[in-house]
Amino acid sequence: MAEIVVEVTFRCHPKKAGDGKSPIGRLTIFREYVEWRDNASPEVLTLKFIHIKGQRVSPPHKSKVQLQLVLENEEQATFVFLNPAHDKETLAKERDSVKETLQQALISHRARVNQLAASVEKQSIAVELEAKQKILRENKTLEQLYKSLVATKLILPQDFWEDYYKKEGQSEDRIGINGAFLANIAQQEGTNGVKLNLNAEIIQAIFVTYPAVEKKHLELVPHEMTESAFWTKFFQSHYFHRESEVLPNPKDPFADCVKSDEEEMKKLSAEGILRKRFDLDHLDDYGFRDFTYKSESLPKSVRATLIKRCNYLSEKILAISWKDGGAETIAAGTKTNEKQGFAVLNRVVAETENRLESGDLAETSTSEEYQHLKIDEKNVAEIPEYSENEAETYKNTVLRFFQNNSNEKILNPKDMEHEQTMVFEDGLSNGNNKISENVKKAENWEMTNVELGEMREMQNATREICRHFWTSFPPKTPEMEAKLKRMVETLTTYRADKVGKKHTEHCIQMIDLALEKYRQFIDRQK
Amino acid sequence: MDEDEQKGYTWEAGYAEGLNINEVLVEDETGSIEKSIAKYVEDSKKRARIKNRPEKIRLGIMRHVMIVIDCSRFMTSKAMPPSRFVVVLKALNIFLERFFEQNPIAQIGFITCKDRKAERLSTMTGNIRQLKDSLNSLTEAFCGGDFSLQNALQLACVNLKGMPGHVSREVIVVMGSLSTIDPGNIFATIEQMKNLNIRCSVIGLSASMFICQELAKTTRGEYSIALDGDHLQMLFAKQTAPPSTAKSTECNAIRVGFPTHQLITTKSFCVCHSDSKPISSRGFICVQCGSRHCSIPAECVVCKLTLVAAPQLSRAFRHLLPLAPFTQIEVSHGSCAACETQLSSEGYRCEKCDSIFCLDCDTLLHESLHVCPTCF
Repeated sequence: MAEIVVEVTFRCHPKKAGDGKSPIGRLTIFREYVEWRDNASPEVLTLKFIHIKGQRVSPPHKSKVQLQLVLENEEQATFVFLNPAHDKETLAKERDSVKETLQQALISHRARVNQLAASVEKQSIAVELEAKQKILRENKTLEQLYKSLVATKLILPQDFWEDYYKKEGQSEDRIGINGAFLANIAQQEGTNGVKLNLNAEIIQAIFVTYPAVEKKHLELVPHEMTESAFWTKFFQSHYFHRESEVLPNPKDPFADCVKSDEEEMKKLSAEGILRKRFDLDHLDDYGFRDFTYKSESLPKSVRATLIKRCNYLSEKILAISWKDGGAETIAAGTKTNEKQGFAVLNRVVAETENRLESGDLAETSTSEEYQHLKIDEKNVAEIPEYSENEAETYKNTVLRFFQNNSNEKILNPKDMEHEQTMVFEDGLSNGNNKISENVKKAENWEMTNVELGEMREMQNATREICRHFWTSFPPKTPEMEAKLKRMVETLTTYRADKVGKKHTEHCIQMIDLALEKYRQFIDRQK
Repeated sequence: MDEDEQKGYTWEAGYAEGLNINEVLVEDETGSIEKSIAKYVEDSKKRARIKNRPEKIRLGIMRHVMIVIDCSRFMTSKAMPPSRFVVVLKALNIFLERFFEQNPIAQIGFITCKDRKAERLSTMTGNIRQLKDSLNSLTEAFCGGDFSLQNALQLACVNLKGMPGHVSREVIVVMGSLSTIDPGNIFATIEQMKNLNIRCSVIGLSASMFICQELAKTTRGEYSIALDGDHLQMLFAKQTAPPSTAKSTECNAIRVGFPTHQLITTKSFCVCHSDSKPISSRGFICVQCGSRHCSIPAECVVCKLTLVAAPQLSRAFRHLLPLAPFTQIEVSHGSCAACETQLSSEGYRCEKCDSIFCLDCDTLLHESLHVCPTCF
């Protein structure tokens, strides 16, 4: 990160406090630090931007032209500008240009540092860990699963969290700025003035809408004035809701902000909107307009400045969203979003005007592209045929069913479940009867609560491992293949562990199905 | 001069005549127009029944729908009593049931948009119980702040991107706000939705907005405004019909499992009731991985195989061959072929079999049963 911003080739020398003689050398400004090289000796003085608090220049009436850098630890580094070829004025100009460049570099450096701090905070591992712990705390089953699988090394933690810790698709946090945000700042009538409640959100909105104010903030805070002093001056200068044309106090830090805003406003209103079919300038046939046009002929209304300001605020807010929104979609080949101001609506305006018909005359049928299918409506399902005896049995079963059960019972199927199973056992073919005798309903499993809990845990764990197995099937990438092999090992170990224990039939069934599939897969590959 | 000013400009009168406002919105004695709105809603329902739906076109049956619910402060307005929010939630509950009846293999997810941020309320699932629970967790006190259309669409986009190419991706936005505060360029987001083949429909609750119209037009969705609670339910019901697919959607063969409803002998817990024992001794065993489910259609949690019953899939035919509208005729005598009530003035005749039905049966056949009982 050592781009050279400015290479200052005139001679100068630093005065170190306490030193008698001051050597002559060269000052170079890099992107993150300032370096001074001594011409004679191999001495190098490096001052990182992080340490520089501010700059000072010597007053104009002094004989020497100096630039002083104030460091954090109250130390100072003073540079005297010397160049026998140049007179004092030129030297002063050089010194000022150096100061400007250094100031800009300092501002951009500070902005970068702030951004970095914010992003690091968001992505830090500590935050992730905390989120995961919260998930485990809130969901007991998940916690159990985690303990039984990850703690016993059956599944790797990363596999486990792949499914349960999803950062994407949960929420969209980037928010836009309300057009009325300045008007909505909560106010309280104080004794001598009005108290405004500012919070981080409002400050962020002001910075994004008015980048000039952000620059000022980086320059002045916390070196020259405190946060509250800065904001007090900001609102007092009526910077954003000035009604009159009175020029601001030159000592006001926002004076140059106002000037640059006026320039920008003039530029934006000159750009305007391009209308192909209604270009008044093109259609105009008053040839003498240019000669007679007087720029100041319009009477200035009292509110003109205020209206200009309000329009400017809307422009700035729109400009934010056009600025970086859709950077990803530009790659998809859509229209570029580099236009500024209301000119962005050119596409919409163009579309509206390309329609040669009015909305009423246009055809209202939608041009839906229907894809037609061939469906043979004549297909009829097979109607099964029964022998006489079978038909009789079925008919009697159904009749008995309706005779024994009133209408209300039929409408409430839950009450009838028990009777249903009996009826079907009668009517169906014999094969099923033996099985139905052995089936015990869920309430009659004859297991204690502890055993139930253990079985549930075991089945949950088995399901989890099987799920990881099936997601990596069929393996398309080397990572999936590696994961598949890992899962197969886990399954075989788990199965060997559980065989012979009580109440494991369901788990073993599931594991067997998975292993069988894997065997078929391997066989097919050979 | 004075007389002219009192009468108003002549072009104004001519303009107002063309709009037919006085015919549609008739004020009754107290000055309210609710009755005429209700009449308008009834008329549009009737018109929807009579309209001929195209048949034998390719439809998106496997639908993945993200529903965006506006939770801004405009939803607490009492314009639709008791409040817009309550009316929307009620309509959504009814919609969920009808939707899964007509589209058994579809999935729905919920997104809420509050205070310019969009959050996913419920992931995409076919489990209606889970969806209803997440809806019930929303309260009116939750609403506040402004609505952000772009954030909601972006979030839906992220959730729908991962879906396979053959599913029909849809977003339904229920919007009561008249403004949207976005962090970026909303037109770019609309282009993105169009490129990803996501069909966005908007149901507005207050006034017609250009941006919603643009969104619906670009993505081939529908934009409609609900006039009252009943009309809102009707608009939702329109969304239950599967949309036609674009040419660009891929058509793949999908793996589906058909488990049988059997008596399960092994002692096993089911995936749907994880906290208690299964409610019945009959259930479905996934054909691929062996896990136990209590009801289908479902997507197997373990192996992601779609489990359906064959009759449920065949219900898709109902959409491919919709019931043709019946013609309204004048009848003086006779009884309805379906319910045997006496027909008084009007009857509806099926063109294929010439049986006549009364108004109630006609509504029932077209909205729920989708078959003519006397045709086959």
